Amino acid sequence: MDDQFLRDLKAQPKPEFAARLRATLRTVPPHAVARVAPAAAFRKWFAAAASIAVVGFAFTLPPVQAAAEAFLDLFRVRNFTGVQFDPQELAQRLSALEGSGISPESLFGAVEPLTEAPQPTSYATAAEAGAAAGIRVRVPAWIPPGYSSTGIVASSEAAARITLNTAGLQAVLDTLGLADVQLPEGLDGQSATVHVLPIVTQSYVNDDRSIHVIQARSPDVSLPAGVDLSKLAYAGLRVLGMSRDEAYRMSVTIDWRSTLIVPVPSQAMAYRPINVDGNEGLLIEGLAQSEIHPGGVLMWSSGEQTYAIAGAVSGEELLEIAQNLQ
Amino acid sequence: MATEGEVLSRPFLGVVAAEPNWDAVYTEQLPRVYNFFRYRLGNDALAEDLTSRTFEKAWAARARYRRDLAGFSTWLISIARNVATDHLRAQRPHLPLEVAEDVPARSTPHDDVSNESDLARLGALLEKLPQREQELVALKYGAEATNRAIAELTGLSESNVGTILHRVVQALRRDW
Repeated sequence: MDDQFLRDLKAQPKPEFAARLRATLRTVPPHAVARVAPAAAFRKWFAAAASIAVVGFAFTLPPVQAAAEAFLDLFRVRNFTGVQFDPQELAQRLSALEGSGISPESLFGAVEPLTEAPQPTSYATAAEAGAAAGIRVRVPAWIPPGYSSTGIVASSEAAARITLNTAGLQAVLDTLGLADVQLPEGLDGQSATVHVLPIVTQSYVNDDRSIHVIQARSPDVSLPAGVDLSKLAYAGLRVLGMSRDEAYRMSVTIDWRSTLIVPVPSQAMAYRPINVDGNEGLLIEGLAQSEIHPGGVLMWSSGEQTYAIAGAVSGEELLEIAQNLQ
Repeated sequence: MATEGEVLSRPFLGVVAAEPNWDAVYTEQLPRVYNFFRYRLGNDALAEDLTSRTFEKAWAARARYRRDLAGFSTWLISIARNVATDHLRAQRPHLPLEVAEDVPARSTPHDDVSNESDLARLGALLEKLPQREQELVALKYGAEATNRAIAELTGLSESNVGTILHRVVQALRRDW
């Protein structure tokens, strides 16, 4: 393959640019490389991610252009997209909400459980857990050396109805100073139903480090018909701290009915799309901020199943586990 | 006297690790990242800006890779990919006009007129290709990544990377 014409186009960075950047980098201190308990780091990250998802979801409730009771639109997670956020900035925003007396409950108006709270149950084998969850549980044929199984847990099915309180949402927007976000008319009192299907978690530990292989069918979210998710996604992205231009561009380029937005902390994180057995997933690395065990999460969907593997291991090892699920 | 590359770091988990020469790492990696952006975006000024962003993101966490410089190199390019993706996403349609006016043109004056002209020419040809192919060219010829490294970065198989690149280069040669 004669590709010399392509190689010839390379250029050296201008010396003044190289020197300027080098000088800048010399002022950047390396992050402290303290060994943190990966499990704690993951819990912290998942808690942050969950809270953002909750806040974001509140803002993706749709405007109603058809009958309020006609829940015609269903969406399922097929793709994952990482969105960086600044945890400190978000903490300040959440703190501002609390300082204004806004509780998480008031974001939604009312959350009505339609089932009992999901209960975790331990099972002896993947087959038993799968039978209870109604899915075929895939078991890793390979895990990094030194890890041993600590068991399989399946949570029960759960559902809840969320009825929107526009006043609460508007208070959040006012408190955060997001004057550019306008809530559509007619949202107040409308409902969405979230149906979370059983989740099976296989856990492995090595000393104080752990790996979790999580599998479930994609959750169903039923929304009133005739929605324009892009407009409401814009609001969610603005609450996350995204700029007006960037939130707008992203809101109109993503398929919101099949894409799950995954918040990625901005400090020293790397995330990228990654192919897992022909399915595009998302790999987030460096979550544990540990030199030896960087930690990460790999998420992807295949058919009706959604998978996540989290652990204090490298991205390559997460992918290796994923590619060896049987 | 120990050079900068031989300075011993503070004890970490009871191990005294040699601190890599980050200046040397910078010198080695800068052209790769810079050229990745040049091939990806066809614009020198933009390449400088995004290269700076990439290094600033990576540099703060460089200590994590002090015993895995190859891993650092791969990680650096993966950050560059994210930076490029974020940039391209921000340049997609629906731009307000006032924002679009600030977007640099695909080509700008350059010291090496011939090289700049060829880069702009390549940019025009690459624009006709899907994003994935454009990125593979930037990784292969800008970042000088091996097919194996590209496979790791993109999730494609190594043979698939080779096949796609072969096809793309043939097409580019034909239209060059």
